[in-house]
Amino acid sequence: MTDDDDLRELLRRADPAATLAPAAPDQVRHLTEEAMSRTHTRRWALPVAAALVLLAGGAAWAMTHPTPPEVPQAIGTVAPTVTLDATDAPASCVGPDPSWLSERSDFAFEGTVSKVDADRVTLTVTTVFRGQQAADVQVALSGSHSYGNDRFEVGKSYLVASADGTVLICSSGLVDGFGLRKLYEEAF
Amino acid sequence: MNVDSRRARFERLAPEVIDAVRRFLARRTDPATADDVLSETLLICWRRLDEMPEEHLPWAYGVARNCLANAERGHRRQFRLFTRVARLDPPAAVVDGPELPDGDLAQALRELTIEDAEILRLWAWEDLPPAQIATVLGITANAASIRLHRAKQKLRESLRKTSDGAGHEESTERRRS
Repeated sequence: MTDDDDLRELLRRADPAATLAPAAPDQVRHLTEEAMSRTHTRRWALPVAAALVLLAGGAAWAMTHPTPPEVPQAIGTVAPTVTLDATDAPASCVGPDPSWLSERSDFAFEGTVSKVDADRVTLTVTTVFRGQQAADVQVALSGSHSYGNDRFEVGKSYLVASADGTVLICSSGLVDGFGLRKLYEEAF
Repeated sequence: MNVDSRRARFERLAPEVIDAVRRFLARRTDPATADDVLSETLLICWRRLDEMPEEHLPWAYGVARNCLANAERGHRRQFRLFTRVARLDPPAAVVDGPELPDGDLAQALRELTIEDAEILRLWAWEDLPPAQIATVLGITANAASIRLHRAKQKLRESLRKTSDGAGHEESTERRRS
Protein backbone atom coordinates (compact mmCIF):
# COMPACT_ATOMS: atom_id res chain seq x y z
CA MET A 1 0.00 0.00 0.00
CA THR A 2 1.34 3.42 -0.91
CA ASP A 3 0.56 6.60 0.97
CA ASP A 4 -1.81 7.46 -1.85
CA ASP A 5 -3.66 4.18 -1.47
CA ASP A 6 -4.02 4.74 2.26
CA LEU A 7 -5.29 8.23 1.75
CA ARG A 8 -7.78 7.17 -0.88
CA GLU A 9 -8.99 4.30 1.29
CA LEU A 10 -9.47 6.68 4.20
CA LEU A 11 -11.57 8.95 2.03
CA ARG A 12 -13.55 6.09 0.54
CA ARG A 13 -14.54 4.82 3.95
CA ALA A 14 -16.20 8.18 4.49
CA ASP A 15 -17.98 8.20 1.11
CA PRO A 16 -21.55 9.42 1.76
CA ALA A 17 -22.76 7.57 -1.35
CA ALA A 18 -21.33 4.22 -0.34
CA THR A 19 -24.67 3.05 0.98
CA LEU A 20 -26.76 4.66 -1.74
CA ALA A 21 -28.97 2.05 -3.37
CA PRO A 22 -28.90 1.93 -7.16
CA ALA A 23 -31.73 3.70 -8.94
CA ALA A 24 -34.65 1.43 -9.70
CA PRO A 25 -35.00 0.51 -13.39
CA ASP A 26 -38.36 2.28 -13.50
CA GLN A 27 -36.80 5.42 -12.11
CA VAL A 28 -34.01 5.27 -14.69
CA ARG A 29 -36.54 4.88 -17.49
CA HIS A 30 -38.63 7.72 -16.14
CA LEU A 31 -35.65 10.08 -15.81
CA THR A 32 -34.42 9.20 -19.27
CA GLU A 33 -37.77 9.73 -20.91
CA GLU A 34 -38.36 12.91 -18.95
CA ALA A 35 -35.10 14.41 -20.19
CA MET A 36 -35.92 13.63 -23.81
CA SER A 37 -39.48 14.87 -23.74
CA ARG A 38 -39.93 17.19 -20.85
CA THR A 39 -41.34 20.62 -21.33
CA HIS A 40 -38.75 23.00 -20.08
CA THR A 41 -39.19 24.09 -16.50
CA ARG A 42 -37.83 27.57 -16.69
CA ARG A 43 -40.34 28.65 -14.18
CA TRP A 44 -40.78 32.22 -15.28
CA ALA A 45 -41.75 31.03 -18.69
CA LEU A 46 -44.34 28.44 -17.82
CA PRO A 47 -47.21 30.87 -17.36
CA VAL A 48 -46.08 32.62 -20.51
CA ALA A 49 -46.21 29.48 -22.58
CA ALA A 50 -48.98 30.36 -24.87
CA ALA A 51 -50.06 31.82 -28.13
CA LEU A 52 -48.25 34.97 -29.14
CA VAL A 53 -50.11 37.63 -30.98
CA LEU A 54 -47.88 40.29 -32.31
CA LEU A 55 -49.26 43.77 -32.73
CA ALA A 56 -47.22 46.28 -34.65
CA GLY A 57 -48.04 49.91 -34.09
CA GLY A 58 -51.48 49.08 -32.86
CA ALA A 59 -52.30 46.93 -35.83
CA ALA A 60 -52.42 43.23 -35.43
CA TRP A 61 -49.42 41.51 -36.82
CA ALA A 62 -49.86 37.81 -36.98
CA MET A 63 -46.84 35.67 -36.45
CA THR A 64 -48.33 32.62 -37.91
CA HIS A 65 -46.63 33.26 -41.24
CA PRO A 66 -42.92 32.70 -40.92
CA THR A 67 -40.94 35.65 -42.13
CA PRO A 68 -37.71 35.17 -44.02
CA PRO A 69 -34.77 35.06 -41.65
CA GLU A 70 -32.32 37.91 -41.32
CA VAL A 71 -34.45 40.45 -43.15
CA PRO A 72 -34.43 43.63 -41.10
CA GLN A 73 -36.73 46.47 -41.96
CA ALA A 74 -35.42 49.30 -44.06
CA ILE A 75 -33.29 51.82 -42.30
CA GLY A 76 -35.39 54.67 -41.04
CA THR A 77 -38.46 52.62 -40.41
CA VAL A 78 -39.69 53.00 -36.87
CA ALA A 79 -39.30 49.67 -35.16
CA PRO A 80 -42.65 48.64 -33.74
CA THR A 81 -43.55 47.46 -30.33
CA VAL A 82 -44.40 43.81 -30.38
CA THR A 83 -46.97 42.52 -27.98
CA LEU A 84 -46.83 38.94 -26.89
CA ASP A 85 -50.14 37.85 -25.55
CA ALA A 86 -49.79 34.85 -23.32
CA THR A 87 -52.76 32.71 -22.57
CA ASP A 88 -53.00 29.50 -20.65
CA ALA A 89 -52.44 27.37 -23.69
CA PRO A 90 -49.97 24.62 -22.90
CA ALA A 91 -46.57 24.71 -24.50
CA SER A 92 -44.59 21.79 -25.70
CA CYS A 93 -41.38 21.22 -27.52
CA VAL A 94 -38.95 18.46 -28.02
CA GLY A 95 -35.18 18.52 -27.89
CA PRO A 96 -34.14 22.13 -28.40
CA ASP A 97 -31.08 21.38 -30.47
CA PRO A 98 -29.85 24.15 -32.81
CA SER A 99 -31.06 22.63 -36.04
CA TRP A 100 -34.49 22.00 -34.54
CA LEU A 101 -34.67 25.55 -33.22
CA SER A 102 -33.56 27.00 -36.54
CA GLU A 103 -36.09 24.97 -38.45
CA ARG A 104 -38.97 25.54 -36.08
CA SER A 105 -38.78 29.15 -34.97
CA ASP A 106 -40.07 32.08 -36.95
CA PHE A 107 -39.29 34.76 -34.38
CA ALA A 108 -36.38 34.99 -31.99
CA PHE A 109 -34.85 37.85 -30.09
CA GLU A 110 -32.73 38.89 -27.17
CA GLY A 111 -34.13 41.51 -24.87
CA THR A 112 -33.66 43.08 -21.48
CA VAL A 113 -36.59 43.42 -19.11
CA SER A 114 -37.26 47.13 -18.69
CA LYS A 115 -40.53 46.97 -16.81
CA VAL A 116 -42.56 44.47 -14.87
CA ASP A 117 -46.22 45.29 -14.38
CA ALA A 118 -49.01 43.30 -12.83
CA ASP A 119 -50.22 41.93 -16.13
CA ARG A 120 -47.30 42.34 -18.48
CA VAL A 121 -43.57 42.46 -18.81
CA THR A 122 -41.76 44.75 -21.21
CA LEU A 123 -38.49 43.76 -22.80
CA THR A 124 -36.30 46.15 -24.72
CA VAL A 125 -35.04 44.29 -27.74
CA THR A 126 -31.31 44.26 -28.18
CA THR A 127 -31.09 41.80 -31.06
CA VAL A 128 -33.60 40.19 -33.36
CA PHE A 129 -32.21 36.95 -34.63
CA ARG A 130 -35.18 36.11 -36.78
CA GLY A 131 -38.40 37.77 -37.79
CA GLN A 132 -39.51 41.36 -37.88
CA GLN A 133 -37.48 44.03 -36.17
CA ALA A 134 -38.94 45.33 -32.95
CA ALA A 135 -37.91 47.91 -30.39
CA ASP A 136 -39.86 46.48 -27.51
CA VAL A 137 -41.68 43.30 -26.77
CA GLN A 138 -44.46 43.20 -24.29
CA VAL A 139 -45.41 39.91 -22.78
CA ALA A 140 -48.99 40.13 -21.64
CA LEU A 141 -49.56 37.57 -18.96
CA SER A 142 -52.71 35.82 -18.00
CA GLY A 143 -53.69 32.96 -15.74
CA SER A 144 -51.25 32.30 -12.94
CA HIS A 145 -49.00 35.10 -14.02
CA SER A 146 -48.14 36.31 -10.56
CA TYR A 147 -45.63 33.52 -10.34
CA GLY A 148 -44.31 34.44 -13.71
CA ASN A 149 -43.82 38.03 -12.69
CA ASP A 150 -41.49 36.90 -9.99
CA ARG A 151 -39.33 35.29 -12.59
CA PHE A 152 -38.95 38.31 -14.81
CA GLU A 153 -36.43 40.62 -13.28
CA VAL A 154 -35.81 44.14 -14.45
CA GLY A 155 -32.39 44.53 -15.96
CA LYS A 156 -31.91 40.89 -16.80
CA SER A 157 -31.64 39.67 -20.37
CA TYR A 158 -33.63 36.89 -21.95
CA LEU A 159 -33.54 34.93 -25.17
CA VAL A 160 -36.99 34.19 -26.50
CA ALA A 161 -38.04 32.21 -29.57
CA SER A 162 -41.47 31.47 -30.88
CA ALA A 163 -43.10 29.52 -33.66
CA ASP A 164 -46.56 29.65 -35.10
CA GLY A 165 -47.57 31.99 -32.34
CA THR A 166 -46.28 29.83 -29.51
CA VAL A 167 -43.31 30.44 -27.28
CA LEU A 168 -40.70 27.72 -27.59
CA ILE A 169 -40.31 27.16 -23.92
CA CYS A 170 -37.43 24.74 -24.26
CA SER A 171 -35.49 27.38 -26.10
CA SER A 172 -36.33 30.51 -24.14
CA GLY A 173 -35.09 31.88 -20.89
CA LEU A 174 -32.36 33.83 -19.22
CA VAL A 175 -29.43 34.64 -21.46
CA ASP A 176 -27.06 33.13 -18.96
CA GLY A 177 -29.21 30.02 -18.64
CA PHE A 178 -27.94 26.59 -19.43
CA GLY A 179 -26.26 26.75 -22.79
CA LEU A 180 -28.93 29.01 -24.24
CA ARG A 181 -26.51 31.53 -25.74
CA LYS A 182 -24.65 28.78 -27.53
CA LEU A 183 -27.92 27.29 -28.72
CA TYR A 184 -28.93 30.59 -30.31
CA GLU A 185 -25.52 31.18 -31.82
CA GLU A 186 -25.68 27.83 -33.49
CA ALA A 187 -29.30 28.08 -34.53
CA PHE A 188 -29.22 31.58 -36.01
CA MET B 1 -27.39 12.74 -36.06
CA ASN B 2 -31.11 12.20 -36.55
CA VAL B 3 -33.67 12.12 -33.77
CA ASP B 4 -33.83 8.33 -33.60
CA SER B 5 -30.09 7.87 -33.34
CA ARG B 6 -29.90 10.65 -30.75
CA ARG B 7 -32.55 8.92 -28.68
CA ALA B 8 -30.82 5.58 -29.06
CA ARG B 9 -27.49 6.99 -27.93
CA PHE B 10 -29.04 8.81 -24.98
CA GLU B 11 -30.97 5.74 -23.87
CA ARG B 12 -27.76 3.75 -24.02
CA LEU B 13 -25.77 6.27 -21.97
CA ALA B 14 -28.44 7.37 -19.52
CA PRO B 15 -28.40 4.47 -17.00
CA GLU B 16 -24.68 4.85 -16.37
CA VAL B 17 -24.88 8.64 -16.23
CA ILE B 18 -27.85 8.52 -13.86
CA ASP B 19 -26.12 6.12 -11.51
CA ALA B 20 -22.86 8.08 -11.47
CA VAL B 21 -24.44 11.53 -11.18
CA ARG B 22 -26.80 10.38 -8.42
CA ARG B 23 -23.77 9.34 -6.41
CA PHE B 24 -21.90 12.50 -7.30
CA LEU B 25 -24.80 14.60 -6.01
CA ALA B 26 -25.47 12.48 -2.91
CA ARG B 27 -21.92 13.27 -1.88
CA ARG B 28 -22.37 16.99 -2.24
CA THR B 29 -25.89 18.11 -1.45
CA ASP B 30 -29.21 17.24 0.18
CA PRO B 31 -31.55 14.66 -1.40
CA ALA B 32 -34.16 17.15 -2.66
CA THR B 33 -31.57 19.32 -4.38
CA ALA B 34 -29.90 16.20 -5.73
CA ASP B 35 -33.14 15.11 -7.40
CA ASP B 36 -33.66 18.51 -9.02
CA VAL B 37 -30.08 18.78 -10.18
CA LEU B 38 -30.02 15.24 -11.55
CA SER B 39 -33.07 16.01 -13.64
CA GLU B 40 -31.55 19.25 -14.90
CA THR B 41 -28.24 17.55 -15.63
CA LEU B 42 -29.95 14.93 -17.76
CA LEU B 43 -31.80 17.59 -19.68
CA ILE B 44 -28.51 19.35 -20.46
CA CYS B 45 -26.92 16.04 -21.43
CA TRP B 46 -29.81 15.40 -23.83
CA ARG B 47 -29.64 18.88 -25.30
CA ARG B 48 -25.90 18.77 -25.74
CA LEU B 49 -25.59 15.14 -26.62
CA ASP B 50 -23.64 15.96 -29.76
CA GLU B 51 -20.95 17.60 -27.64
CA MET B 52 -20.73 14.71 -25.22
CA PRO B 53 -17.41 12.90 -25.68
CA GLU B 54 -17.02 9.14 -25.72
CA GLU B 55 -15.60 9.38 -22.24
CA HIS B 56 -18.89 10.80 -21.10
CA LEU B 57 -18.89 10.52 -17.31
CA PRO B 58 -16.35 13.25 -16.50
CA TRP B 59 -18.20 15.51 -18.92
CA ALA B 60 -21.50 14.69 -17.21
CA TYR B 61 -19.95 15.36 -13.81
CA GLY B 62 -18.89 18.77 -15.11
CA VAL B 63 -22.47 19.50 -16.18
CA ALA B 64 -23.80 18.32 -12.82
CA ARG B 65 -21.28 20.46 -11.00
CA ASN B 66 -22.43 23.57 -12.87
CA CYS B 67 -26.09 22.72 -12.35
CA LEU B 68 -25.46 22.23 -8.64
CA ALA B 69 -23.66 25.56 -8.41
CA ASN B 70 -26.66 27.21 -10.09
CA ALA B 71 -29.07 25.50 -7.71
CA GLU B 72 -27.03 26.56 -4.72
CA ARG B 73 -26.96 30.14 -5.96
CA GLY B 74 -30.75 30.00 -6.16
CA HIS B 75 -30.97 28.62 -2.66
CA ARG B 76 -28.73 31.36 -1.38
CA ARG B 77 -30.92 34.00 -3.00
CA GLN B 78 -33.98 32.55 -1.29
CA PHE B 79 -32.08 32.28 1.94
CA ARG B 80 -31.15 35.94 1.83
CA LEU B 81 -34.75 36.88 1.18
CA PHE B 82 -36.16 35.06 4.17
CA THR B 83 -33.51 35.30 6.80
CA ARG B 84 -31.20 37.83 8.28
CA VAL B 85 -28.55 35.41 9.27
CA ALA B 86 -25.22 36.77 8.29
CA ARG B 87 -22.94 34.51 6.35
CA LEU B 88 -19.29 34.97 7.14
CA ASP B 89 -18.03 32.85 4.29
CA PRO B 90 -18.28 34.03 0.71
CA PRO B 91 -20.52 31.96 -1.56
CA ALA B 92 -18.80 28.84 -2.73
CA ALA B 93 -18.94 27.40 -6.23
CA VAL B 94 -19.62 23.99 -4.79
CA VAL B 95 -21.07 23.46 -1.34
CA ASP B 96 -19.56 21.26 1.30
CA GLY B 97 -20.93 17.76 1.20
CA PRO B 98 -22.97 15.94 3.79
CA GLU B 99 -21.49 15.38 7.21
CA LEU B 100 -18.85 12.68 7.15
CA PRO B 101 -18.77 9.86 9.69
CA ASP B 102 -15.06 10.31 10.30
CA GLY B 103 -14.78 13.46 12.41
CA ASP B 104 -11.04 13.83 12.00
CA LEU B 105 -11.27 13.46 8.25
CA ALA B 106 -14.19 15.87 8.08
CA GLN B 107 -12.21 18.40 10.09
CA ALA B 108 -9.13 17.86 7.95
CA LEU B 109 -11.15 18.41 4.76
CA ARG B 110 -12.64 21.58 6.19
CA GLU B 111 -9.12 22.86 6.70
CA LEU B 112 -8.53 22.64 2.96
CA THR B 113 -9.65 25.12 0.38
CA ILE B 114 -12.92 24.27 -1.38
CA GLU B 115 -10.98 23.56 -4.57
CA ASP B 116 -8.55 21.18 -2.84
CA ALA B 117 -11.35 19.30 -1.08
CA GLU B 118 -13.28 18.94 -4.33
CA ILE B 119 -10.32 17.60 -6.27
CA LEU B 120 -9.77 15.00 -3.55
CA ARG B 121 -13.44 13.97 -3.69
CA LEU B 122 -13.22 13.55 -7.46
CA TRP B 123 -10.09 11.46 -7.05
CA ALA B 124 -11.25 9.25 -4.19
CA TRP B 125 -15.02 9.11 -4.51
CA GLU B 126 -15.57 9.41 -8.24
CA ASP B 127 -12.35 7.46 -8.78
CA LEU B 128 -11.11 9.76 -11.51
CA PRO B 129 -7.53 10.09 -12.74
CA PRO B 130 -6.11 13.62 -13.21
CA ALA B 131 -6.99 13.77 -16.92
CA GLN B 132 -10.67 13.15 -16.15
CA ILE B 133 -10.63 15.46 -13.14
CA ALA B 134 -9.41 18.07 -15.61
CA THR B 135 -12.51 17.52 -17.75
CA VAL B 136 -14.82 17.96 -14.77
CA LEU B 137 -13.15 21.14 -13.59
CA GLY B 138 -12.43 22.60 -17.02
CA ILE B 139 -8.69 22.82 -16.45
CA THR B 140 -5.70 21.20 -18.15
CA ALA B 141 -4.63 17.68 -17.23
CA ASN B 142 -1.30 19.02 -16.10
CA ALA B 143 -2.94 21.54 -13.78
CA ALA B 144 -5.22 18.83 -12.40
CA SER B 145 -2.25 16.57 -11.74
CA ILE B 146 -0.36 19.30 -9.89
CA ARG B 147 -3.40 20.40 -7.89
CA LEU B 148 -4.22 16.82 -6.94
CA HIS B 149 -0.69 16.20 -5.75
CA ARG B 150 -0.74 19.34 -3.63
CA ALA B 151 -4.20 18.61 -2.28
CA LYS B 152 -3.07 15.17 -1.11
CA GLN B 153 -0.10 16.72 0.65
CA LYS B 154 -2.30 19.30 2.31
CA LEU B 155 -4.79 16.67 3.47
CA ARG B 156 -2.02 14.55 4.97
CA GLU B 157 -0.65 17.59 6.73
CA SER B 158 -4.10 18.57 7.89
CA LEU B 159 -4.79 15.05 9.17
CA ARG B 160 -1.52 15.08 11.09
CA LYS B 161 -2.39 18.37 12.72
CA THR B 162 -5.90 17.18 13.51
CA SER B 163 -4.64 13.96 15.07
CA ASP B 164 -2.02 15.86 17.06
CA GLY B 165 -4.84 17.53 18.90
CA ALA B 166 -6.73 20.73 18.69
CA GLY B 167 -4.25 22.64 20.82
CA HIS B 168 -2.59 24.40 17.94
CA GLU B 169 -4.20 27.68 17.09
CA GLU B 170 -2.96 27.63 13.54
CA SER B 171 -4.45 24.22 12.79
CA THR B 172 -7.96 25.48 13.35
CA GLU B 173 -7.60 28.38 11.03
CA ARG B 174 -9.58 27.97 7.85
CA ARG B 175 -7.39 28.41 4.88
CA ARG B 176 -9.67 29.45 2.14
CA SER B 177 -7.97 31.02 -0.82
